[in-house]
Amino acid sequence: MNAQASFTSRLGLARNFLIVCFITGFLIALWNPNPRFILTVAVGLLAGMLILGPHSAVVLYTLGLQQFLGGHLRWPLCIFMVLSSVYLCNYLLGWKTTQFALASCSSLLGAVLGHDATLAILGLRGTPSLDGRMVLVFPLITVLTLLAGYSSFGFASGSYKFAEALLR
Amino acid sequence: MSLAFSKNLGEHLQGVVVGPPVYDPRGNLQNMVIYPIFPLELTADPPDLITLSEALNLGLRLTDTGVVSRVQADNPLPTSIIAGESEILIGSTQLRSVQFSCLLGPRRKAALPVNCVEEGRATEYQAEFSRADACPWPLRAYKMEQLARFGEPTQYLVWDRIKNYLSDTATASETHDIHSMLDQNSYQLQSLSNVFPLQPGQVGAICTIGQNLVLELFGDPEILEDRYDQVLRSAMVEALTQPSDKVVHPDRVHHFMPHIIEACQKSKVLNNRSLKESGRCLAFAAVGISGQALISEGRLIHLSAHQKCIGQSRPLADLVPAMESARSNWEDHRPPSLDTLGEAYIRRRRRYNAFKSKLQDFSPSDTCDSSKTSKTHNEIQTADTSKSAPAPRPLNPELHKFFLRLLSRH
Repeated sequence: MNAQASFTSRLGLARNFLIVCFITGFLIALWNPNPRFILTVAVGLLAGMLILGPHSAVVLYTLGLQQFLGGHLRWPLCIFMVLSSVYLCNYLLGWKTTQFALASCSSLLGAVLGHDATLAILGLRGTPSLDGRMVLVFPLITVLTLLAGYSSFGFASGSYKFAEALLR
Repeated sequence: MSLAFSKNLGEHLQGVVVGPPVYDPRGNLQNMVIYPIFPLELTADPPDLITLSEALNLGLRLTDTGVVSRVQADNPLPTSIIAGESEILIGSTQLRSVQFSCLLGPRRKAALPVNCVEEGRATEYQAEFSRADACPWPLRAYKMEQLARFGEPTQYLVWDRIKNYLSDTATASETHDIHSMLDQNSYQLQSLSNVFPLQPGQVGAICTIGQNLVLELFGDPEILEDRYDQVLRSAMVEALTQPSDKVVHPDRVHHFMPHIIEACQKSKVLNNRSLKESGRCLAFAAVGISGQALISEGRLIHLSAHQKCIGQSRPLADLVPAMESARSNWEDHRPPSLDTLGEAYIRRRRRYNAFKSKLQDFSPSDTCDSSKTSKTHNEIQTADTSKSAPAPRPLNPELHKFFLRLLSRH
């Protein structure tokens, strides 16, 4: 199997997750097409995956905090880090409650993904099996799929109106 | 520190003597000769540690952390366990080889340093290792050299070394599994194992395999006895896969141990945070010898070393007269203390067996049957929690597995 085929086949593993992202983007557009909501979700997810998740993994395992609470501290710590970060953004940007809730949920989901992805990367670190390209591409594709779902709603709505105008 | 280590090792090696050569008189294995090593003096007390293979049967848990270079070890037993660098860990995940010999303290959890020796198979997070087998000497020698030079063998170079080795020996393995060499030669390994019997009280052996000289020495004869099968397999698989009719000259063999003492004057301490309280391992590579030694409380627990003697091997048939002469010389002039070694060892072995049978009570499988034992085991678990350094755990194991598959090139 060549590198490109391997990359594509592995990306296929994330198909269901990407479909969920697409549908989520579509539903957000259906619920409220204001771009601030989809952007909040997209940025929250990306920040969770790239910053909060890896950061919480580093805090847990370099400071040896995982030995407390029988190793179950990772969940409370992750939630605390996400909520405190979102609260700080809320304080600076003056979000509304809905936006705060969306940012919290998406950042938490991103942080969970980021934490476990970090452990997987650490496990594969120093080996030729680690696919650096996938490490970069996966978060990007996730967010682009979310935005694609959002944009599809606009496209579908525009197409519908266009077709409706033609038929009248 | 290196000079102190060298002195310590020198003192220990002065307390042992190399015995007469043992070879296959039928000529089925013409490139291997073993020289047993005996202690000049045997203390009355047997060791209070057991081998990894036995510990696995008694409840030691070795689990895959999902990290290529670490295996989580959970020792519920009230005794130390020796994990030798010669061991390959086998389970329902990719095979690992213990990086350097170390002691797992009683009732402790630790991250065992390992190398992956099966490139084509993914790690299975939290999969258990159920048994251990021998690691062939070429890989061990390479690991020792890398440890002495860099402190850790580079994983992809280990994989390259295994691939080349499998290719050189025409061993088929889809996943580039080093253990396939033992599987492929299992019948011969089994049938030839009785050519080199263990002798009572023996604590080690020097093997000449083609142009290679290898040493395996333990602090206690009981530990060698329990691991002798692995010691033999590790050397014999090399002899079987690299057939020739040559071995290193006996004179060279008798200079091997002094050269080891010289080589270990430049040694590197191998650090492992979770194992630092249970002994110290040092690696050395000099004067053409690479090796490693595990020392605990000033006592040598395990020493292994390798030397390639290029151009210094001769056909076994030519050396048989010299070896027979060495054997008769040994019979006439062997140290008098060895006359009582066999009896002293039998007494020690009896006590050691009694010690091991008591460990059965701590086996987790028995804890359901006895409330008393169950309580003891629970106490052990509670005590462990404060001392242990748990391995990183994912928030969601399935998610972790998904990322391992997603981010790992096949």
